[in-house]
Amino acid sequence: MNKLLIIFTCLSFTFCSFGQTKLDVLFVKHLAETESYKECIFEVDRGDFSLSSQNIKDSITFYKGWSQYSLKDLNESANTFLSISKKSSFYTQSHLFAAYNYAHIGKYSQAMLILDDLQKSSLVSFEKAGVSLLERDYETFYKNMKMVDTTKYYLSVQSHRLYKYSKVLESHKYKSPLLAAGLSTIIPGLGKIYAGKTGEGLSSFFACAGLGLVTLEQYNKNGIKDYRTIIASSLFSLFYIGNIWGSYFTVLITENEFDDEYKNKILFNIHIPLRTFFK
Amino acid sequence: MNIKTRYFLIYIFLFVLSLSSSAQDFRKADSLFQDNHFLEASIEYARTSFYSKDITLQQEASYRRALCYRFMNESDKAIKELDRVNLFRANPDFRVKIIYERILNAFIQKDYNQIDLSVSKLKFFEKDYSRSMCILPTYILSLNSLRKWDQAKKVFSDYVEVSDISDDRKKEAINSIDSIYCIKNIPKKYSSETAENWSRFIPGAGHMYSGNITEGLFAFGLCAGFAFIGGYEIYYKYYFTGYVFGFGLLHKSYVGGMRRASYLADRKNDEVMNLFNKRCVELLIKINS
Repeated sequence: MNKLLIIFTCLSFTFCSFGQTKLDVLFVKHLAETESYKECIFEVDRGDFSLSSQNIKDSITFYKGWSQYSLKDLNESANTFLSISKKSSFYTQSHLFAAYNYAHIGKYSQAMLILDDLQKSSLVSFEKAGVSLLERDYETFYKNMKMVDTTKYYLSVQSHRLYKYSKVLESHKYKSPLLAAGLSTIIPGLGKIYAGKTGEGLSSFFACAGLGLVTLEQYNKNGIKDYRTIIASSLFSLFYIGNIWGSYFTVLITENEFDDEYKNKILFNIHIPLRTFFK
Repeated sequence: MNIKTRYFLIYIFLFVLSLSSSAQDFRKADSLFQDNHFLEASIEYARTSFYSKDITLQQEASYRRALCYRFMNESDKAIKELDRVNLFRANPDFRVKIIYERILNAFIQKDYNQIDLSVSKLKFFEKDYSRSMCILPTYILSLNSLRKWDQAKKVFSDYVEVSDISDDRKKEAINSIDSIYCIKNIPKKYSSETAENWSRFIPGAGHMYSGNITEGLFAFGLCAGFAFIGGYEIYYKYYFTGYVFGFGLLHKSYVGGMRRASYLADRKNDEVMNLFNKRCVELLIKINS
């Protein structure tokens, strides 16, 4: 009789502790859903879930990853998402988001590896196409886009947009910073106009021309050894060389701006289907 | 009592004890809060709220979480948490506490219109200020910042009326309020546009309008100096030098001066408002001392 009572007590407390762990998962989920992300991460980190089932561990890891993703801690978030086991119902979602996070921080090859491991589907192919486009690998982009079912509501608009961006990117000719510097050597400001910054180019031209005329005026009236000529010519040289240097960097900056603009557009459009699908 | 009955009674006692340990009160959270562990405290409040089905307890948890967020300098999250409380279901005293905390956080964020909105909400529930006196000091300061002088003066006077002080002190406080809010003491509004326009006509005048006499004189001197260099060089037939070094730099200092004057006017507004609010705070302290 006594043994029976002891077994009953042990069993009831074991069930109780399982119930508590389940409640803890729900609480962690509640924190993530109420946008208490810092609290969610803290709660998961300090909690001891070592005795919990793999399913519960995966759920908790997912909410931690989700909180990190929401706090824009993308690298950590990707690492957390990747630790979710294959048996978990969160596996596909977490790995897709991990790939997206890696793509966002420029780790395209890692993103591609994660996507390659996932079971083939329209969404996975679409994400792969997006990452390929970020890498400017047009062949892989078109290959993956062929596998995307564009009739699906969460992919139709975004697929169309990715095709549009691919055409723009393919036809885009990158400008040469060296050519810009050369053009600015011939006519100050021309390199900036070539880079697409017409206003800046004209402003540089007038500044250099003004200083050049001042130098010429001083030289004609006071000769080359006069301190005013030396000051004016030094300033002119400084502006002239600075303008060549500036033109070189203007092209680099302009091209970076172009790349960033399209990177953001592509990331935005590969993000929307993820959020819509896993709503 | 046989052994079986005794066993089950002990079992039930321990079981209920273990269930109640999931914290149906704020003891753990409060102790964390007192030790300045605000993040942990906010989690414990959230836990209590999550496990409880008692709406009053959930509302109290939201309020205390908002306090944690305020101490963590996350006023926006505090306001969000306070907005979760259904004011219609809250009891009157608690409602005032919620609105007071909301006003305080909005004041930290300098969102004075939000304060106005919160007070309007409170007015919907409360007919007078007898219960909500605590919100009035912040409300007065926010009305000052919104430059609603008449309303601020009225609220200040109401505050004195409902405060627990002798009639003589009330009279004295009312006189002080009249003195603070008399036209000559009300902070002048320095328009950034006017300052810019002053500097457009006379370089440095906008700086002086904003109370920066020395800087204004310097700005004027700088512009006059460059204009002189320009004129001087052109007079001696150095046309390009005069144009580029004289008038070119004159143009830069002239335009820069206008922008600076506009910035100084905005800064001056903040300064005079802080000074004015300081006088109000001093009076509020005097009333409450």
